[in-house]
Amino acid sequence: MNLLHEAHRMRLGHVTRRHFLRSTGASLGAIALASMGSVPQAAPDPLTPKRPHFAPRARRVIFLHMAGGPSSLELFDYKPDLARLHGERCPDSLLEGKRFAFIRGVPKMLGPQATFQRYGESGAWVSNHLPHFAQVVDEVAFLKAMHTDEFNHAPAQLLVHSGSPRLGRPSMGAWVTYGLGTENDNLPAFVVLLSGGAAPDAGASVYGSGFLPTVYQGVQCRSVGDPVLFLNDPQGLPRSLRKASVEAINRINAQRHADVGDPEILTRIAQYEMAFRMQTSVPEAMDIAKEPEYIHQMYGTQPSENAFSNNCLLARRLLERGVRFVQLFHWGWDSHGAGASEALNDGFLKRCKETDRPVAALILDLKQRGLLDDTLIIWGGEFGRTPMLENRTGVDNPFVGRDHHSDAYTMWMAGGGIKRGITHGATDPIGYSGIRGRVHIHDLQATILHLLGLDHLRLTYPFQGRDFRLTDVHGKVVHQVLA
Amino acid sequence: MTKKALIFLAAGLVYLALMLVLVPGGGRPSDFTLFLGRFHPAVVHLPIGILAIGILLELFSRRWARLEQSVLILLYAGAWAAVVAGIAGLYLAQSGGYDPITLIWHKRLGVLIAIIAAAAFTLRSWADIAQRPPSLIEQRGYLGAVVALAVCVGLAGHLGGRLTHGATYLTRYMPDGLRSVAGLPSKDDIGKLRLQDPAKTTTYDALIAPILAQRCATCHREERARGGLALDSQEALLAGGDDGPVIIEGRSEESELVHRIWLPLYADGHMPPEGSQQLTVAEAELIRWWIDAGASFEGMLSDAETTPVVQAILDGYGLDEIKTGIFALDTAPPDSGDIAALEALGVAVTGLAEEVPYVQVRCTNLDACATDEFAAGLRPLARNVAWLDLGRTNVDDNILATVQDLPHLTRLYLQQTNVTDVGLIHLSSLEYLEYLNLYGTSVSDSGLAALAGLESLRSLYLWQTAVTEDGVARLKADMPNLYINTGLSLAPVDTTTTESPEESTEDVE
Repeated sequence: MNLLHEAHRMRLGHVTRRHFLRSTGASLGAIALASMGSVPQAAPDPLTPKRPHFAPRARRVIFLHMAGGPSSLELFDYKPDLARLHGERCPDSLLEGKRFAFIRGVPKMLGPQATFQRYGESGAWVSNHLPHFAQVVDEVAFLKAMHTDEFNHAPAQLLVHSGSPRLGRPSMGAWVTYGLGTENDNLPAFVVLLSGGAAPDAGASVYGSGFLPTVYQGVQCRSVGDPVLFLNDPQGLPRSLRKASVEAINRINAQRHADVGDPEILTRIAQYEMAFRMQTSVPEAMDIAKEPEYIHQMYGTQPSENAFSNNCLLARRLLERGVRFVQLFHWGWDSHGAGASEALNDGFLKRCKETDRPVAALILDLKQRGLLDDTLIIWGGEFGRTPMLENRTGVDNPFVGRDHHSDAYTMWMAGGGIKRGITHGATDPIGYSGIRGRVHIHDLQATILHLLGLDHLRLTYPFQGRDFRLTDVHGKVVHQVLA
Repeated sequence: MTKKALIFLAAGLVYLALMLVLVPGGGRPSDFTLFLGRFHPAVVHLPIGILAIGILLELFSRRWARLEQSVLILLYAGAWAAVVAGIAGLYLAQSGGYDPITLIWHKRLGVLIAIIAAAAFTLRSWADIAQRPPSLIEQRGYLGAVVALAVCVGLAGHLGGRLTHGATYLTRYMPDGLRSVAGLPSKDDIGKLRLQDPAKTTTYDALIAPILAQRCATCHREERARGGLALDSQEALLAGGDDGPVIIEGRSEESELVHRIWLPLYADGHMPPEGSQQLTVAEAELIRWWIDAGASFEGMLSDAETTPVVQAILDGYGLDEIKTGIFALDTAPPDSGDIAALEALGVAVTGLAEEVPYVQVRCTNLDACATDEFAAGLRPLARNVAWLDLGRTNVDDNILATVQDLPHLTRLYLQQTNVTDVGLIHLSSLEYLEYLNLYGTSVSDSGLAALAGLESLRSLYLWQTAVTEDGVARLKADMPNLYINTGLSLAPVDTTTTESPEESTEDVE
């Protein structure tokens, strides 16, 4: 066995069956092209902007995920009847066939832990916990009868963001980036910002790329310290040398791609190039200190803290610079009442306070910059909360809370392509089930894609022998909220 | 053949002709008249068929002389059939509701056919009866009569069909090639809802008129107003029928039109009558909705308030896919070479959507779009640029001289650029411009004047410019539909009214 023979065998060892099949197809095409006198193109950049299926109403998305499941009954879904029933034992008919995360036995009903008032021309109900948000209700379309399939955080969050309660599917931001490419050469197309002291229960999978090439996954940025970890050059490494080394590595990678054809190598090349550009662009984009004082006041930012308000301001800066999909997670809405931090009469109020002003500011600031016109804002948690009191321990405690509830909860959308100042859907008099205009998470996803110009039925990716899509086999665009 | 047969036939003809002349139209015919009249459609095909065979055999008899006798019998029988059908037809005509012009010619032709058939029979058989060879005049006259008969049967039959089925019945499914030769619109356009632009079409024109035309107007149109009711024009619809109005604005449950449509199929008075094409539930629902909403002939479809059911119906019609604005125009797709040339300058050019000839052009760096090369590169794509995003770059008024030649521009982002009032003058020609972002530029009141004529403009962003409240008010007076933003802020909130966590922990059970 001579050396050439050996080299050939080694090369074949790298070629997987799938790549072999794909590349033989491609090379037949290449032969055909060559015979027509044209040369095969270099591998395409996976982030090249692509035209959508139909003309989009929104170019950018910001998803404000209130992780933990905020209680609609204390924020938007005003239920005076529930106040009347406060302290009554929950009738069996409401419990039959239902599953709860924590409630066992027969719980008592819990009246709204808030006072409500109507605001704006639309007359939308908002509780006293969101005084700033109450000023912008006319920009918003409420979805009052959302429902989901899952009543535990991780699967419910996965369902919201990947369309499936199990791991392994691409997140919405990844699908959108896959479908539309990037509008920005220097920043990632999909950025994730976390606050609230804890990462989402489902981990990075809620902004992962699943089976899509990893180039489409969300890039987590930090609002305190280095915005992106390990992005800065080590001491003593000049940028010119970094550039030369990135170029050298990419040349080797390109060669490797030519040899084995693994698409992940393309991702690697794109990431190296992006990281190099991000070394200058990210510090500029992420530096909220450059914002004028009145903007800081508007958002209520807290200097050098990992605060939701800082993330909102950061998000606006990123959207302004052409980042397509920004995902904010703010943990701490899991108001079981088992302790102060997760009580409707304590931690929940703090979450309201932390988010009320920045969310209202974000809407107004995007609007005055002309960005709300083509930016879609989505607010909501992974599920809602029961109209029943959750009392896990069975003894009197100073904290009140509600259990997870998947049948009815409120989300809202605002901005590009969304009707202003409307309410879609309604729940029963105790906010237990949707009775009108019910919207499933898959419907919401279909609507978001629709606004971006993507048909959720056609945005597919072949994997394991079939075409997958974000909405699986479900999803219906909620035309009632489209402007 | 005997003289007796001829005399009988002559008597029938006289009766028919007298009826044509003497029986007046209008008035309420007796039930018995209508009973007899309704045999017209049943009997009328007899003379047509018999005479057609007669004419055909006359042709063949030139070759096979033995057929001649058959022709004679057929002409006689055909004449009688025409008399009977004609009498029934004249009775039927009294029921009214037919287009009078078509009707009078149909009547005359029908009577004429009976007369010509009788004349042809007489010319052919007279010589036999007189036991002499036929004269030249008789021969020529007979030939002429047969030819006239063929023409009259065709014409009268056609007019009859027109009376029953409507003027477009025959051509409805004609192949498009033939239709265009005949100067008719493509058949795809017939009966289709005219859903072009909900902002420019009334609900009546877009949804209601087509339904009435397709389902009702066969019997209820101005030429043939059954029950005195025509549904093919606004006036007629409001005028109602013999029994009064059919539409009560805003009250569908009291409107006869809706009442009749929703009656069960077997019920007396259900419309359209059993056996004819029924309205679909969606169509019936749309009519009910339209009347409940006030039965307006002016209300624009885009302004109509829909119910969930109606919305679902409209979605089914593909109302969300209606092409409006620049998408309704016939614009040639962009040249990929021109796009590549522009992209080579460091500019992002992306198709707006599949099968749409428009692109969005986006500047990704500060200076790429502030150059003459960019302006030159934009020109070949002038008709294709719908969105132009130059925001946060160093472009100035120079680029706007090129922008004015982008006739299909709908969204223009100029925020935080060096454009000034001078440049805005160029924008006055952009008839499709909907969105204009000038936030963070030095434009002032004087520049706004140039925007006053932009009819499509809906959103204008002027935060952090030199524009004053007066300037905005003046523009707003000219353009009431325009949203103008000059900056927003949050009102201070009295935090004492909101519970703080510390307080709330105290009042628990």
